Parts: sequence; C-alpha cells; structure tokens
Amino acid sequence: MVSLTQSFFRRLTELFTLLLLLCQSSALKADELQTQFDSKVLPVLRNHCFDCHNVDDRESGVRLDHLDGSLPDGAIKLWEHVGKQIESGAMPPEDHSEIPEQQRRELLSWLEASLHEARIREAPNNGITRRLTVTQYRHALQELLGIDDDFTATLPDDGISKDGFTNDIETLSASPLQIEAWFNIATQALEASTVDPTVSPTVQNFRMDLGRGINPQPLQENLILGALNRLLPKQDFTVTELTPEKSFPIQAYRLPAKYRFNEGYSGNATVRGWREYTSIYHKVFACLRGDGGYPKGEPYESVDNGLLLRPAIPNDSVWQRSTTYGPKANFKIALRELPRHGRFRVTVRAAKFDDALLLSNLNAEPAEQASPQESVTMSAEQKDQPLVIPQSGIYQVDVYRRPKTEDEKGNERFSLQIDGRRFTDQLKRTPAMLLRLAEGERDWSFDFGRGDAAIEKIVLTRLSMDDPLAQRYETFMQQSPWLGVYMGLRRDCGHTFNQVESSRVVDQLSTQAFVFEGAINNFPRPDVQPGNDNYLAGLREILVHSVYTDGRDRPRLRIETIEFEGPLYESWPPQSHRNVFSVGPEVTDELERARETIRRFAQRAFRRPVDLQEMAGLMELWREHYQQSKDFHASTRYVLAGILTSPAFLFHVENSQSPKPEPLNQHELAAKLALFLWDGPPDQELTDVANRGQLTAELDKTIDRMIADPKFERFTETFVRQWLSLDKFDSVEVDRRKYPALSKFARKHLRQEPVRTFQHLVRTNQSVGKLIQSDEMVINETLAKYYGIDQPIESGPEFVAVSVDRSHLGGLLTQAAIQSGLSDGREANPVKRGAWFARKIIAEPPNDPPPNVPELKDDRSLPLKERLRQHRDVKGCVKCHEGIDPWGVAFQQYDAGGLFTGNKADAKSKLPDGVEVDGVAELQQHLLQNRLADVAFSVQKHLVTYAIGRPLQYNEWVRLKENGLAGVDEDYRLQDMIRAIVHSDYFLKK
Amino acid sequence: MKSQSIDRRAVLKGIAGTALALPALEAMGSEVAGQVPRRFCALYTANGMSLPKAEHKIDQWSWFPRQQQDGQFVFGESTKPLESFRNQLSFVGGLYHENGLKSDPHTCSDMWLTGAPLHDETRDSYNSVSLDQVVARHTKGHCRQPSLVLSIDAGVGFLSRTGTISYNHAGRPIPAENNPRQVFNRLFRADVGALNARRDQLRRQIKLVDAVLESAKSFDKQLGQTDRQTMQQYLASLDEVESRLAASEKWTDIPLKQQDYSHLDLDVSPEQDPASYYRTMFDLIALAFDADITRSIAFMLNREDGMGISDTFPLKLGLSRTHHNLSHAGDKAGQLEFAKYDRFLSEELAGFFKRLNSYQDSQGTVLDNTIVLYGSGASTTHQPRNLPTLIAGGTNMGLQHGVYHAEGKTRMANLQLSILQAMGIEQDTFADSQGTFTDSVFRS
Repeated sequence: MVSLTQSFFRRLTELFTLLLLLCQSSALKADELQTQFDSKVLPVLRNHCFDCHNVDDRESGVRLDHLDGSLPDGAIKLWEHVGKQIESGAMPPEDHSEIPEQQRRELLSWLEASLHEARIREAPNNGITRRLTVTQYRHALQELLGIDDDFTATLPDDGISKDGFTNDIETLSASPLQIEAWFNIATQALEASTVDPTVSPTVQNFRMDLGRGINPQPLQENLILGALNRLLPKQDFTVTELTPEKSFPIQAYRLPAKYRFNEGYSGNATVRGWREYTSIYHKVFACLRGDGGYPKGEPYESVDNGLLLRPAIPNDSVWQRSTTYGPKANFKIALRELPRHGRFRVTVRAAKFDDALLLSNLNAEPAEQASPQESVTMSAEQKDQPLVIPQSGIYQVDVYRRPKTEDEKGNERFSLQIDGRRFTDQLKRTPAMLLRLAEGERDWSFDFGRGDAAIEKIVLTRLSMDDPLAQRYETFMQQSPWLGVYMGLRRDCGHTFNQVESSRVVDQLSTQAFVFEGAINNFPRPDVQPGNDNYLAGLREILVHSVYTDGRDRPRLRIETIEFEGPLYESWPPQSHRNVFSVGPEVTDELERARETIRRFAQRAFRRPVDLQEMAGLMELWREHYQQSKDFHASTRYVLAGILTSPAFLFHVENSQSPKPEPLNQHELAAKLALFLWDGPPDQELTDVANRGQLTAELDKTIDRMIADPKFERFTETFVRQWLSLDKFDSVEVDRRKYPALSKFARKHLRQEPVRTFQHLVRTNQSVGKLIQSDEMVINETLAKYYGIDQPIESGPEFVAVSVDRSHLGGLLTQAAIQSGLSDGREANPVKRGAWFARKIIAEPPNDPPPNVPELKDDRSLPLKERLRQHRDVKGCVKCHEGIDPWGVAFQQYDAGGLFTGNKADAKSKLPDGVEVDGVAELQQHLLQNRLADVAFSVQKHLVTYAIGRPLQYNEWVRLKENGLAGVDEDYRLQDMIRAIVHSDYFLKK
Repeated sequence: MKSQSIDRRAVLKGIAGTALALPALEAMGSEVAGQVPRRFCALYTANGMSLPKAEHKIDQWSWFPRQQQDGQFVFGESTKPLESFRNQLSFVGGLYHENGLKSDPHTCSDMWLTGAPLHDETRDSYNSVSLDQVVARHTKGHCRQPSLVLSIDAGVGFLSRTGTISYNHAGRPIPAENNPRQVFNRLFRADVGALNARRDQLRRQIKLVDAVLESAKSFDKQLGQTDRQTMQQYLASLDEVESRLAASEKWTDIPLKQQDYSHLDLDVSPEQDPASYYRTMFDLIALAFDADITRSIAFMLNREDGMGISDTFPLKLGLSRTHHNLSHAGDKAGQLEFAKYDRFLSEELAGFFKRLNSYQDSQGTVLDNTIVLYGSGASTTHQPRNLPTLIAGGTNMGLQHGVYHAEGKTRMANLQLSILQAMGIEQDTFADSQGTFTDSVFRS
C-alpha cells in the first residue's frame, strides 16, 4: 500500500536541490538575477511560451507574458509550475519547437536560484491594521460595556478569504454602510447600558403557578390564542404580580388592568368591534403549542403540584409538508408586555416526576395470578375507598377491559391517579404500565374515556427485583428530563424562539429552582406598531419544555412555577452604567470627572493606554458639546460614542517603525492573543499583565489560562467552522425522502460535532492524528442515535467524549456535518469532498478552475468513476482534478446524509500521491503512517493564518512547511501547536 | 434634452459651492422639480436561462424567443407572464463580456455590471465600478440615497462569486442588504419623528464624524511605517458617510411622499417562500423609486455556483434539482424544469413591472422613466456568450421596445454605455465599450 522508498527519494531529492541551491545562489544578488532574466530567460519564454500563454489566450488557464525576474510572492506557484513543465519536457508541447538544451538549462538554473532567493526573502513586515470582525466587534462592545445585548444585526457579514477566514486583512472592508452602522450601534449601546441614577428603576416581576385546579376563581370569559395552540384549563394556573426584594428602591411594574381591542376572534373567525377587558388573564396566557397526538401517553398533564411535560418531539419541519411544532408538549406563557431592554431572568421550579413507564407499545404479558401479599385488585365500585399497598416496590398495572358493546361512546383514554400522581395512556393492551408505590393506604381513582363501567378490574402486582420489567423500570427512572427555556414571539403560523442559556438536567424528585438569564433584545420580538388594536398582535412568549434527544422513555418533567423578572438589576446604578460612568459624583468638578471617565473608557476601548494628544481631542469634543447642552451625561456619552467609532477601537493595530521585523509591544500582544484565543478583547487580568510589562514573561501561564477559559470556545467555534467550511452543511438542502433521519433537529446537533471534537482534542492536548482517526467521539444522545451507536450515552443534549469502538466512526473525516455538507443533498460528491480534503486536510489546494470550462454531460446512468474520468479528460480540467477526485473517491462509503453505508460503494482509489486505498479506513491508515506531517502542516498553516489575520507570505509558507513549529514534536499535539504559534515569530513579530 | 442636463449640472455646482443646505428640488424651483426622474434598476439572475437543445423539441420553453408571428417575436412559455408588457420591453441577444471569455466562469456575476478583466492578476483591485454606481454618482444629488444595493444574501460573500453585483468606484464590493424590514425601516421610517430633532441629531452626528475623521487622520499619521491601506479605506468611507449625512440633512425639510405600504409583507423570509420574498423586495424597490428615495438600484436575485439560499428555490417550488444543478442539466426533463424556474422569475418580474406601471410620475409611469436591465452573466452553464438580457422601461428616455434583437455579437459594455447616455449621463466609454449599442432599442 505504501511506497516508502518513493517518499524517501522525494525527500532526498529535495534535500539535494536545496544544498545545491545554497551553494550556487549565495553569490547571486537579486539584480543579477533580473539581468539574467532579461538576457537569458525572457527571450526563451517569448519564443516558446507567449504564443499560447498570454493575456488573451490563456491555454489551460496559464498566462506567462506578465512575468518578470522579480518573482513576487503571488507568482511563485506559477513559476514552480513552469519549472516542472519545462523540466519534465511536458512543455512546450510536441507540436511546438523545442527549447534548445543550453537555453533550457540556463532557464532552469536561473529559476532554481531565483526560487531560492524568493524562499529566503524576508518579506517587508510593515505592521498591520486589521479591522475587528463582526464577531470580535460584538464581543469587544459587550465586554467593554458589560452588557449581553447584541447590536450587530445591522452590520453586513464579513467577507471570506481564500483560506475561508473572515479575519483576513485583505477581505475586511470598511464601507460607508458599515460606518453608518457603527455610529448607530455606538449610540444605541451606550443608551442601553446607562441609566439615570436618580430615578429608581421599574422592574417587572410575576409568577405563574401550575397545578390541577389551583385557581379557585378562574376567569369566566373565553380566551383565544389561534391555531395550533391549546390553552391550559383556566383553573389549572394562577398569575401573581410580585415586587422583587432589592437593596435599593424600585418601582414594581404592573400590567395595566384595563385595555381594549377592536379586532378580535370568535373561534378562528376574525370579528371587529371594540371590546373592553379588565382581567390580566387576557394579558398572560398559559398554553401549549403543537400538533395533536403523542406516540404514547399525553404530551402534557396537570397534577396537583404542577404540569407534567413529556419531551417535546421536534417536527420534521419539511417546508410545505408539515408544520414546525411536533406534538403539544411545549408549554408557553404568552403575554402582551415584557421589558423593552436589559437583562431578564426566568426561574423555573421543577422536578423529575415519580413517573410510570407506559407499556402500550411493549409486548409485555399480564401478570400471573398472585397472592394477596403481592397484588391488589380494584374495580370501579371501589373508587372511593382507599387503596392498600401491601409492600413497597415496583408494581405492574394490568387493566382489564370488558368486551366492547355496540352503544359504547367515548375514547379509549385511561387515566390512573394515585396520591395526586396521574398516568394517562390509550388503553391498547394489558398490562398498561409500571410504577413505584410505597406501602400503606393510598388515595386513588381512575377515568376511562368510554365510561368507568367498561373497566372490569385493575390489578396491581408487585414485581420481584430480578424481573426484567422491574429492571426496565429502574433503568427508566434513572433517566432524567432536561429543562429548556426559550424566549420569543407568537406568529399566526407558529412561533419564533431562541433558547435562553443551555438546557439543564432535572434529576431530583424534589422541586428545585433553575435560573435562566439573557438580554431581552437578543431574542425575537414582535415588531408591532403602536396603536395596533388586534387581540393577538405582538404577543411575546416564554417557552418551557422537556428537551427531546433521542426518543427514549424518560420520566416526565414537572414544572411547578415559572417566574419572570426584568430588567434585572443587581445594583443601582447597574454595573453596565458604572462601566461607562466609572467616576462617581464624588468628583465634583465636572470637567475633571469627564476627563477621568473618558480616559478610563478610552483606555479599555483602545486596548492600550491613551496618549495626551488623543485625550486633548476627546476633551475638546466634550467641552464643545457641554457648552451647548450643559448635560454632563449627554456630553460624556457623546464623546464615548466617538470612541466607539474610532479606528483605535474598531481596528487591531500593530504599529511598526521600520520595515524590519519588530517585537509586538505588550498591549499589542495582549490584544492579538485575545483576538486569537478568545475572538474578542483582553479581559482585565490580561490587561493587567500587559500593564505590568510581564506578558512576554508569563506567556505560557497566560495561554493556559486562556485555553481553560470558557471564552476559548469562541475560538474553536469560529476557527473550526471557517477552516472546515462548515457553512456548507448549514446550507445543503437534503433530500428528506432519501435521508429522513437528517432532520432540521438532527442537523442542529450534528453541526456542532466538528467544533466540539476539535475543542476536546485541544483542551486534552491530543495529536493531530486524532482528527484523522480516533476511538473517541464527542457526541450527545441525539448524535448517538443518528450514528446508530447503541451503547448508552447519558448526557442529554450535552456533548461528551465517549469511547466508540466502530472503525468507520471517530475523527473529523467521518462526521456527518463534513460528509453531508460536501454532498449535494442527494448523492455523495467525490469532487467536492476531494477538493475540500486537498485544501483543508493536507493543504495541497487545487488551482482555480480555468475559464471556458465546457459543458459536462451529467449522465447519471454512467458509473461515477466513468463520469469523473470524463470530467478529467477534458482539456484544462485534468491537471487539477487529478489532484482532487481520487481523495474524494475514497469517501464514497459515506452517503449524502454523511452515514457509513458499508462497503457497497466502489471506494477504491489511486491517490494523487500514488498510493492505492480502498475506502476511508485505508485512507486513514495511509494518512497516519505516511502523511501525518502534511496533515499537521495543514492544521498549522490554517492556525497561523487565522492567528495573524493574513495569508502567509511565500517565505513564511516555506519556512513553516520545512521547519514546522518549535515546540511541536512528531506527535503533533494540538495544544502544543497553539502554544508554539504564539511563541513563534509569525505571531510575536510585526 | 442634452443641453438641459448640462445646464442643470452647472447650476447645481454653483449652489453646492456656496451653500449645501438646500436640496436641488427646492433650489431649482418648479422647473426642475417638474422634471421627471431618470432611474436605473439592475436585476441579476445567476446560472443563465434555459435554452433547451433542439433535439428535445421543447423550443417553446426557450427563454430567448424562438418563434415569430406577423413579424413579431412570440413570447416563449418561460417568458409568457411578461407578454402584456410587450411595448415596454425588449430582448437582446448576442451580448457578451469580452473579459468573460477569459475569466473563471463562476465570476460572471461579479463582472456583469462592471465588465472588468477579472482574470488579470496584475491589476490593483479585483474589480471595477459597476454600472449602478456610475448612475448613482450622477443621480445622488437629486434623491435621498445614492443607491440601494440588494441581494438575496446579505453582505459581500466570497471575494470571487460575490454576493453582490455592485462595486464602488475603487472596485470594492458593496455589501448588499437582504432583510426587507431593515430596508424598509432605513428608507421609509427615516423621517418619522420630529424633523427638527432629526436635524439636530444629524448635525451632531456630522460633528462626531468630523471629530472621528480628524482623530483618525492624526492616528493615521502616527502609524509610521504601518501598512496604511486599511486606514485609507476607512477614511474614504468616513468621508462618504459625512457627505451622505450632509445630503440627508438637506432632505429633512422635505417630507417623504405619502405612500400606501399596506401591501408590504415585511416578515417574509427566503427560507420559507421565495415568491413572497421576491414580491416584497420588488415592492420595496417600486416604492423607493416612486418616492424618489433613490434612482439607482441593484438587486441580485440569486447567486452563482450553487451558493446561498437561492440555490434551493427550485426545490422549494416543487422542482427536483437545485438552481445550479438545473443550469447544468442537458437532459430534456432538466432543461424543462430549468425553464419552469425561469417562468417563475418571469412571473415575479411581471408583478414588478405592473407595480412600476401603477405609480405615476409627472409624465408617464415610473416604468416609463426607469431603465430596467434584467439578465444573467452566462447563457447556460458557464457559457459567457449570448448573455440572456431583457431591457425594459425607459420609453421616456427614448427607448424603443417590442423587439427581439437577435443578430450579431455586441459587447455588453456597449449596451451599458447606451443606458448611461439615455439617462443623460455624459460619458464616452464604460468598461471595455467600443461604442454604443445603436441598434433596435436605443435607435434614435
């Protein structure tokens, strides 16, 4: 499979060439080379090449007539290609005159010498001025002001560089549209983070309590919420407006009690006519959203101390084929008024429910007749008498139904209640369910849709602990529900939500409080014009559900209360205000206070100290404004808006004094590190280290701290997503008939896998080889189901590293987000996969396609290899496709859904490096054994490019390729790489 | 007509030299106010149009007309929705960009309005100015916004295969907007609220921009040897913002035209329904023209090379392949489906024309005073010849319609130059033009 000798030879030849060049060229200077070019090289090119390779005729996409003897970086790849073509005799082609041997040798030796010069040439290193990306700008603004609000929606997306990155100096533009947006954002953000400290804040705080019949005086009028909503019975919830306790005075916001609407609803029909309302129950609704039906049991059910929710099954959401909700297991509070700004908190008091495992879709047998110590038999007549449980344990419930009579009416819904617990299911077979009961007297009851009389008897039988059903029940109760909270708005055709923080596991049977916080304006909100008098206009919603992962049985989530508070202030004035107005009124001289406020703010915004001249300019602006307004806060905010739109905030600047490489200063280094590893600004600790001048000395310690910080996940998210072009998976339109499992829901989880994997490998400092192949996967329950991994993964929606002994899984290359993203959603695409692999994994990118690519026959009746061959045979295509397609062919075992299909597909391929493999497993072996250094180079190349925010210059590229990074050994560990990059001249020099 | 435009410019120059505060409309009195606006709208569709092979015998589905009757071309099935506008539109065949023949075919949308030699790596900038921006430079003094740049995807996207068809005078891509609500708020809600407050705010903002500009300039000087290109770009944009603010200040006294917005559905999303999305975007364009908010609009309806959401539109409409895949189809079924997608676009376009005709200028309808250029940078799959092109409106600028100009080969830039001249923009060349397009539509 491998040809070691071949690669050894290649290395040897390279080494020889290099030695030879070193001897030859040291004497030759650039101008000598230019002279040689003019006298010896140009005439040859002119005579033999320009006819076909000029500005107008670009045979095979190659143009040569613009080249001169200086070998600029951009032309080096082309020159190398020219050298290869002439050396191998491929050019000039047979039907053209040959280059005389002497001239040919002169040309080649000139080229070798020149290429060497180019490789060792130190490119001018004139500092850098790089705009922050939208993401970096967002983080810089949020951290500077101490707010969570995202104001960047109006900024256009950043362009994408050839390497796939948005932080590339060459693609980061600053257009008038962007500048206008920056101005608007600065004003908005400052308004949002500052307050009038003399006015006590108004805070909205209310709680909804849930429970069967807990509202003794429910509203008598009808409530309406539109299609696909089911209102919770009005007696099953109460709403209480509260006044939060704070250490400072507040105004409690009260929902206005009187209001009226002109446009309302009667059923689904719209009616017009003013109607007056006085109850807040027209302002705050408790409801469930979704379609009918649930595979087993009821999606929701009220019990004495709360509302029970089964996991909210996501719907397929295929456009125009199904709605987007799934069964009604999404509980929502729909309400007309919420704060317009600031942070909010939703507190959910919830518990895992002591539930029954429903058996309606399991083939279990009715329990055998057992002794009275082991079982209890009840019937409809005994409903009012207590139920005596002889012994604590797990009980099987057998419900015996009388034979159907003709005049029976009603449904087959059976509901059992014991001590306030409720278990409901369609009565399909006996037994009905399993549950745990404590010994002693129990209140009990039951309902049956067709009338209680249709039930002959109910038998509870205690199971021995080694009974498989008992064990099944134990396993079931070991599962826990996950609580998810969302915030959004109601639409006529559905709803729009974003999740508030991440889901939480609810693993206690006793009630606990779970707190979720966010900035209200980061969540979808209705855009309603004032004066809209429609009853359903502009409703906002808080949604709470039990998170679905893989469809397994799990105990229900019981929610007892949901409390909302916002805007959320921990102090007054809030921290965000004090971040802006950092000097209090204790400094009585307003000019002094302004100066210090502005200086502190500018210093943090600029990520460096502010010089006197800058301060003078800012203060002049302040004075001018203050003379007119006489308003300290307004004038100061005005100047701060200027700071937020100044290039010192919007750009990362490495200021150099000469074309020679210079070390970064401490503040530049801090800022650059933070942009690299946190995709944002430095924090106070990093700034402090830089202020002390200790950053260079404490670099390793700092890197450790930064990688351990949660903000490091922003780096992996941005870097991995862009390096691997994961946006392709976000946009591929998958044929859902062919790939029914690849739902929108599954994709939402799958898209995170490459990022989580990379993050795990960096944090645990593992080898780059683990990206190629690994026994470990970083997945959650949803992914385990998608990949058909049967070993239990008990992490809910959270990603965890697990050992998976499946040869076709593990590593990046086998992930669905990669392989499906590189398909057209219908069938695997070896060209896309090959080009991606060549570019991203081994850094041997194909050239851009030549002009005038002729139309290809897309004849799907031909086998794939035949089609690829046709493609390659087209003149002008062959050169690149030879370096692309064979890589992709090896991935043929993975379908357009990104799943392994076994060995049915023809994945035999002769790779561009000459090795033959059959399928991904052999490709992985080959990469690990023979090409690991190239994979490492590719990762390093992409990391360095991302870290420094510009493409590598040719000499840097060669240096990295030949020397690697100091501190990275042959294991090529990922954290070592990041550390080595920060320590390298690529990063530390400007 | 020509001399009139020179006069107006000369007068304007005089005014601009002394006081910028007065808008052209007011300053020039009823004579100029009565003059009908001249507008330009570029609509780009990617991947070409269906021009089925003869062997499939579905000629009636060709985008370019293939039949004649009574000396007139017959609309094909895919353009039939446009039939009622026969007297306001023409088809132009045989167009090509000289540089398109030499460049990566995926960049044809980048070149459509610029004609730039994208293959020439020795140039300083990748692209050059696009036609709509040349128009904007001449019309911006008369309206609130120099231009409106729209696209199915926001931003600029990739450097080549850009998500915008509009390039500024430095040849840099102009980020496009794609959110109907944002566009609406920016254009039509700008004047809500007290005008005086708005003016105060603008003045303060101008001062702030000035201050930032000043500090940025001194900052730039400090930069020493540091690469200053980025800063230059920032400064140029800041300058532009300042002049825009100055321009909008003078407009604050003039109330926005009263219009009916009730038909707008600003919540549409291309994720859900392509037809409603296009309709809303077209409605916004028509409203912006009618209120004379801008006179130059570019809208990229979909993207080249299978990029972006628009590639999935045919699937959303019930066809079986993506847009890019359909454009590659050689089989009968595929070419027929591609044509059906063309027909969908024709329907949307017809709705747009209808809307433009429903708005009246002082002379004629808005469509009569707007030149609409609709087309693609490839005829089918990467074929940069015979670019599908439809030109509509502008009869008040002398355009003559109802023809299918099929003969010969003409540089696209010639046609584009003719558009500029018809609009009264005095320019002798545009891009690599070798003259004007004197046949048919622009025959004087």
